[in-house]
Amino acid sequence: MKKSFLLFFLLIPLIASAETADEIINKVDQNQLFITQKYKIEMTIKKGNRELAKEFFGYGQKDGDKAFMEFTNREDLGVKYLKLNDELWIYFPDADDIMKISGHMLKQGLMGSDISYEDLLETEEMKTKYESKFIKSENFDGRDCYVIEANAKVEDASYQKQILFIDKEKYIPLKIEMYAKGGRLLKNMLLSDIRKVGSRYVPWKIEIQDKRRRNSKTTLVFKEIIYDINVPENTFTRRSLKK
Amino acid sequence: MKYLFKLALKNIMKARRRTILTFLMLSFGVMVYLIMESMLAGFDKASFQNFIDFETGHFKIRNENFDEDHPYDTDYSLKNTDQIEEKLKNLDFVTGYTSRINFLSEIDNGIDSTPVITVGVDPENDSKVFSLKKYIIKGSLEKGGALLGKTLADDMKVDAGDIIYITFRSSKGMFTSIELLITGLVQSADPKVNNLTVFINLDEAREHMGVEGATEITFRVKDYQEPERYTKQLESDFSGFRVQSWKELSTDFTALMSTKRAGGRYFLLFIVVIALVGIINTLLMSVYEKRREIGTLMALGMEHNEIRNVFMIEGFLIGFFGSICGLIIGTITNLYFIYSGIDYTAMVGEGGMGFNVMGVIKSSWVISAYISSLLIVVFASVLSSYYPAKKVMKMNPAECLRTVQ
Repeated sequence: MKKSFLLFFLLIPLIASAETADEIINKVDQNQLFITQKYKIEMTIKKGNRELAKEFFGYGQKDGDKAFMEFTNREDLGVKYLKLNDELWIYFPDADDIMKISGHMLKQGLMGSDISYEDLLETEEMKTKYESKFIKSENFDGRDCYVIEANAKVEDASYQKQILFIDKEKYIPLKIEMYAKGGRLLKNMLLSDIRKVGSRYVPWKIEIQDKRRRNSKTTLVFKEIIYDINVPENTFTRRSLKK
Repeated sequence: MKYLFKLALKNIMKARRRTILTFLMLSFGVMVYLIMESMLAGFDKASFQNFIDFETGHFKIRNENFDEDHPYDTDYSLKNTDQIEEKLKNLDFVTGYTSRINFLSEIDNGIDSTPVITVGVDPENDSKVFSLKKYIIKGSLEKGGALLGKTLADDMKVDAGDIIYITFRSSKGMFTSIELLITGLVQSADPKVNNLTVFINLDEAREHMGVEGATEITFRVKDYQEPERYTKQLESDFSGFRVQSWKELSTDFTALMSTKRAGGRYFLLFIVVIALVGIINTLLMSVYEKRREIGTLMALGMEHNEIRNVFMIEGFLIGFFGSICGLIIGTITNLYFIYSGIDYTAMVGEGGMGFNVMGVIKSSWVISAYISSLLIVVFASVLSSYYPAKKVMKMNPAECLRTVQ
């Protein structure tokens, strides 16, 4: 009797802290869930000595996986992207033409950046494609973090493995390492300047480094983000591209 | 008529220096044109041979839905390559076949990266169809290794024995990065192979890419000059697949070639203009010089038409003999280019000048260039002598005789 009592006490701290990896990922996913969103982003693409600055705004809608983006910097003014489920359309004002991008093309870098179209447009929850495992707790960038290893459970996941450093308080990943099949670190994503928007935390600055190249980095800085707003009618239609 | 010819010949001979200059201009132009056409024809021939030896083979079998706009997409591959290969083995006119997987990837040495075409090669059968093996300059293609184009290796600053990575999305979409030991270098006559191709083992390509069979099966036949002979049988034997001969596979290539040939036409036009200006000049001068003579001839009762003809015959003679002379010198010079050839690698580096060639290229005889240059130059010469000749017709014998020279 005494023995089991002791055992019980020993177990309490374990139970209390043992939020499972799935629960953590769930919370992360929850924090990122939205019905609709509007954002404005400044993107800097650095490749070697070259640096490109771009600016765009966009709308997203969870229902039906819809997304719309329009570039506003001078070089790409009027270039628009529309994603409806698995299909992506691009509108180029110079050619006044709508192009459909599908299949393999979706995996290419957006406007020459280190982010693939998929990375940006994919709103799928992590748990559908990855099996998560809690590794350890670690301090990252002055914050207490859970280190979670997410292994792909389906062949069509983008990465074989991702290691996420998730802020224990805000449930926001502060660092994500993405590994290719073969075990090589491909990309590193750093999320910082976490701000509270409504009820959720949002990283205001996202940096993506391509680890295969020296000096290659894409930085996204939010200028504005609003959740659950009314998206203007017909935003997610192909007609809106030509407008 | 004979008399007119004699007169024309005399006129030409009289103003020897001027005639020789025009004559030389014409011969030189024709000669250069002839050499250039032969060279281009040689390039064409070599390009086609390379295209067959390195890219198309004689026939290719691919998935029915293969998308020509995205040739490196592995979505539509051949699943049952063994069955197809077995079938090909039993066809008596097929002399060799091989499977390959082509896909796009990015190669990097940890510092720089560049997009490349990765080709999974069947180590046993590839040399029965493609000439790749003959052009390996260092090492060989081994399991777990890669064979790199020489220029690509130079660009990436790597050599045999070094490690490189190739990164791509598998056919299912997962990022895959594999480490490869460079086990060999290849330098071929095909710039595509040299500049942007990484060859790896077929089985490894299958495994990493997640493709069961191959993206294409290429084979050679006995009589490749007339692939149409086999088309019918191949279509019935391999229904449900896309079977294309090298002729069909090279339509883009042929179009490119003909664009390049158009350059030769411009050159001919250029010579024609030189001929026109030169001949007009020579004959106009001669008209002015010979005013008194022309006046005398007219006074003696020679018809205007006859005098005009003399000048046109002069034009014809310069044009005709100029071209013949050019063709003879051109032919003699061409003998060297045709039988010895020139090593273009040394001349233009390894870019191939946009042609699919490299190394020693021999020119070919182009009979049509002889005919076209002769006809066009003679026609242009006669045409350009028409203007000075017409001037003569307007002349008045009395005025001509009054001219003091």
